[in-house]
Amino acid sequence: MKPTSILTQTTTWLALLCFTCVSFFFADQSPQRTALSHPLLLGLAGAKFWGISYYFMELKEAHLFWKVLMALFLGFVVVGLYILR
Amino acid sequence: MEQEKHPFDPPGGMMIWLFIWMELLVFGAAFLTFAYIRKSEYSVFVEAQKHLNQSLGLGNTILLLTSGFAIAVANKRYEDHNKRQTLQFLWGGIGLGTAFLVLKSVEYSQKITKGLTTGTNAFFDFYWLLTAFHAAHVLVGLVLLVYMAHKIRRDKPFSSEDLSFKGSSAWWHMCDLVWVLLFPLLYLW
Repeated sequence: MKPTSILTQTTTWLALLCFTCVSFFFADQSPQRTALSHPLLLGLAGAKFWGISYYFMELKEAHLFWKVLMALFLGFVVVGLYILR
Repeated sequence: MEQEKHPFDPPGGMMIWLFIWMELLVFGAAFLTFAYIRKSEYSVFVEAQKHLNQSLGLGNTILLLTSGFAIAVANKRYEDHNKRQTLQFLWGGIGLGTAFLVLKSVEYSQKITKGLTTGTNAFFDFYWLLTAFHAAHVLVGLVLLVYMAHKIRRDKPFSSEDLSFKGSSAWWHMCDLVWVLLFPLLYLW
């Protein structure tokens, strides 16, 4: 597996900031939650979680077992939060 | 001291990841409990959430994500045997992490002044429990990173095979992981 480059990490960081701002402004603009609010906020949080673990924590270079374990954890929490919303 | 790395081991080594998994499971369970209680006390949670300063939460998120980025780059520089830039990015990450805690303290003082402490309602019980527990993890991460900065500065010859820096960084990124779920859940949900 090719190691993560600093360019990839920079792109990830910019995407993380962008997702954060989108979440913030979306929640700010729609204080009365719509049907789209929770899936959007959870989706963006999930994408940020995966970006950090994959490119910053270098899970990309880890054994498949750790990637699957992290994906299962993320899926369990995100789906659980969606069901309990 | 250099540790032997097995291909199955996660980045930073097995030991730190055992701790990381324990913490992630604890936070994951707490998030789901928060959502469950929120459902039964919906109006209390929605009303209480209005007392949180979303802008401070946004600022904290930006600080922590940028700190995580700086630590990730420091790791790359470490692998390139570039000691000077490793330390520059590492101290940058530590500075941003410290700023996160300062901003968190400002938020805490605002809440205490308004009397929004534990016991106010279930939402603020969760708010204090989750954010203070997270802040404690950030503090531990900062101690680890400051120790690594001193270790790297003193190390001669400079060794990029040492897993302890990657392990400390993994802990720091775990704080990021928790916060990216905590921020929307508490502030935006």
